[in-house]
Amino acid sequence: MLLNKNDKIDLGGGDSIVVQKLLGEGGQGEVYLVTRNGQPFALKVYKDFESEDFRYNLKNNIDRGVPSEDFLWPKQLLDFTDGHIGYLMDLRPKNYVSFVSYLTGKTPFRSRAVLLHWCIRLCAAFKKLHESGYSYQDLNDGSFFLDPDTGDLLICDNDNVTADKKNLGILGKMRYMAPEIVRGEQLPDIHSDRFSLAVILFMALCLGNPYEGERLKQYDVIDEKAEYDLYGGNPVFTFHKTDRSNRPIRGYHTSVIRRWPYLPLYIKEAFHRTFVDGLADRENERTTELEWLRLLSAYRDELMTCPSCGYEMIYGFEEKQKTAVCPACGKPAPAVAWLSVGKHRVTLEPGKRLYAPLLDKFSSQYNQEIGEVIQNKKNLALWGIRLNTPQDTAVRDTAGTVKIIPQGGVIPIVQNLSIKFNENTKGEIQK
Amino acid sequence: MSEERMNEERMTGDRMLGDGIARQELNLMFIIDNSGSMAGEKLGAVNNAIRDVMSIMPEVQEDTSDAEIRISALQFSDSAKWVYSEPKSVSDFKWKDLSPEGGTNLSAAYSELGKWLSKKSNGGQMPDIGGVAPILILMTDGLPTSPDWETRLNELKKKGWFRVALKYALAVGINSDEAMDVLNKFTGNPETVLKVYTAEALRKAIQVIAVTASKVKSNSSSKGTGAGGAVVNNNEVAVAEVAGKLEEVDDIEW
Ligand SMILES: Nc1ncnc2c1ncn2[C@@H]1O[C@H](COP(=O)(O)OP(=O)(O)OP(=O)(O)O)[C@@H](O)[C@H]1O
Ligand SMILES: [Zn+2]
Repeated sequence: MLLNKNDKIDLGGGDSIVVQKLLGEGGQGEVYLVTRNGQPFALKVYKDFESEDFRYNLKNNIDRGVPSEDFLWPKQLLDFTDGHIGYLMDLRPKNYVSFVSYLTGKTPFRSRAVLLHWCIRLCAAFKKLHESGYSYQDLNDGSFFLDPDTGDLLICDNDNVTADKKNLGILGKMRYMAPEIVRGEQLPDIHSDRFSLAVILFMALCLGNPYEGERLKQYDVIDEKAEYDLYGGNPVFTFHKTDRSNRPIRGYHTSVIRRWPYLPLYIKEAFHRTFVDGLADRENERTTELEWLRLLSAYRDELMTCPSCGYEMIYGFEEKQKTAVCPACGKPAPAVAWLSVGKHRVTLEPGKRLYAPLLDKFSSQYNQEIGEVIQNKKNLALWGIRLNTPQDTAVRDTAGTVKIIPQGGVIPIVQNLSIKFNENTKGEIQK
Repeated sequence: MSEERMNEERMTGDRMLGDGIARQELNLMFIIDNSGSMAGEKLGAVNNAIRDVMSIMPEVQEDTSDAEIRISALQFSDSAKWVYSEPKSVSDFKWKDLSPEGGTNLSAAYSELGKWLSKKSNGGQMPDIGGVAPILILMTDGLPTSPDWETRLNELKKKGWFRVALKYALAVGINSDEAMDVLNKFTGNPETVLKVYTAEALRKAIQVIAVTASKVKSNSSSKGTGAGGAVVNNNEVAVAEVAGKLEEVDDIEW
């Protein structure tokens, strides 16, 4: 323990903090609960004497400020008289659980739509981080937290974040690191971040690691040599289109085997590109954050709920065949209506949310809600879309009758209804 | 349908398609001398120490998705016997106090250990698929009474799982060069042989080794310049971290 309860640390300028208790410790440091003017904060203190470079980088990150609200970003640097350093950050709110807790099955997301919401936030946060010229460098299962009810995200462990192409000694965690980093050919940067981001997304959607399959059987024990081989020297994607040597193992990789088949084709392609083509061409063949945002939003848009078991399956707009039976229970898939606007297609069922890019193709606010599908309380068979866009909407039914729906009103969900959201944006309800 | 109920059903829906990630097994194995000479304070300290460490292991397990920790304990006196017939998960492993009896048949312990350090399909207890190198912690207070222990050790050393294991030995209240030599031969590294003189030191040593090594072996981020690649020897990292933590503990000697 570097600090004790009730230790008072002077921050200068009459400001000070008081240590309350140890919250936890990791490889690099200890994290304490402290109070400052009665307000609680988390204080991380490094166990080792960190380099001047490390300190400078941390200070610089603090001065430049948080790239997006999803990062639990360092707020203030502390220099202890004995040469140790630390920083203050906000406490992690109690509603967040670790990504590990989700992966191991302990805390499931409330629904698949909420899981996708979290994935989308993750991609949006990394887009912001990368746009600000940073790379994260150490993406792994321990860095992320989630609210299982809302899909809100919190990214912790932000102290290794540096300006892209600069490295302060952390290479990452095995199983998440890009192969070129494992092999020692490159230092972490935006492109290796993208690889690791895809690993995290694959884990989130399939509950498995993209490179762990039959090849695990070749090793008596997964030691350093085996890891180098599996994740660095010769990684083979478990769902490689032509190389079938590393398929997930039946009876062991159960979750992946059951989940992968029901991902939309475009999501599978995006993984394949990153995990196969992206091995050789790290700069051009790794799915970018913006691409993920588009693809994951399309996935969320086409979810529909099984009336028998509640499983959320895809409609199958891009598949060879639309989903006919529920993958989870085998009962017939629901017959739902959908809204098409430009390239977007959104299935319409109560509780479904609509997001900004649907009506504004320049928007990158993939989690900004602009409407919701609701159900009439008195007549449950009547469904409608409540939009909260600032302008009126015009609708025309098959008989040619035009109606103006004022802002905040409800668009009825009826077949072949044409909708004019604004001058440039038109849509139609189909079934 | 109320909203709550709908959520519950949805959750079930998604979870029907598998409800957790497949994890590598990480075996943590205690090898405990319960011969007559351990009677009293020494064995009491061991019993308490293991029970204590078991209360922290669920937290360690909770923080890692990469490995599933499996715990087993081998007791040896006149003969050697596993406390459970197979390695147990952190939540299923319940400690039952050992009682002192008989001699110190280290040979029998090595033979039993050897049997388990094979794949399940070969009659052992190590995973058939993957698996992380195990952590072995041997605790004893004296010289073996079985003369052929070194032959048995040499057989054990032929096992891949033994070679890659992270091996610790705790000398409980002993200090003879001869006895230390036995332990040094087990770990192959004098740095991982510790002499403990008090119950408190034993408790801390077991805790630090079990917790730190499990964390490191299932959870480490690589540090380095990238020159030799990012592959780290987890055992070396664990030994360094354990050593750092044990510096603060009194009554432990290296
Ligand atoms: N802001 C925070 N609020 C509450 N708890 C925190 C906060 N930051 C860290 N912790 C807890 O403190 C512990 C150590 O934190 P952290 O993992 O960041 O340390 P570390 O030394 O960087 O670890 P590693 O290097 O192994 O990743 C963890 O248990 C973590 O949950
Ligand atoms: Zn179903």
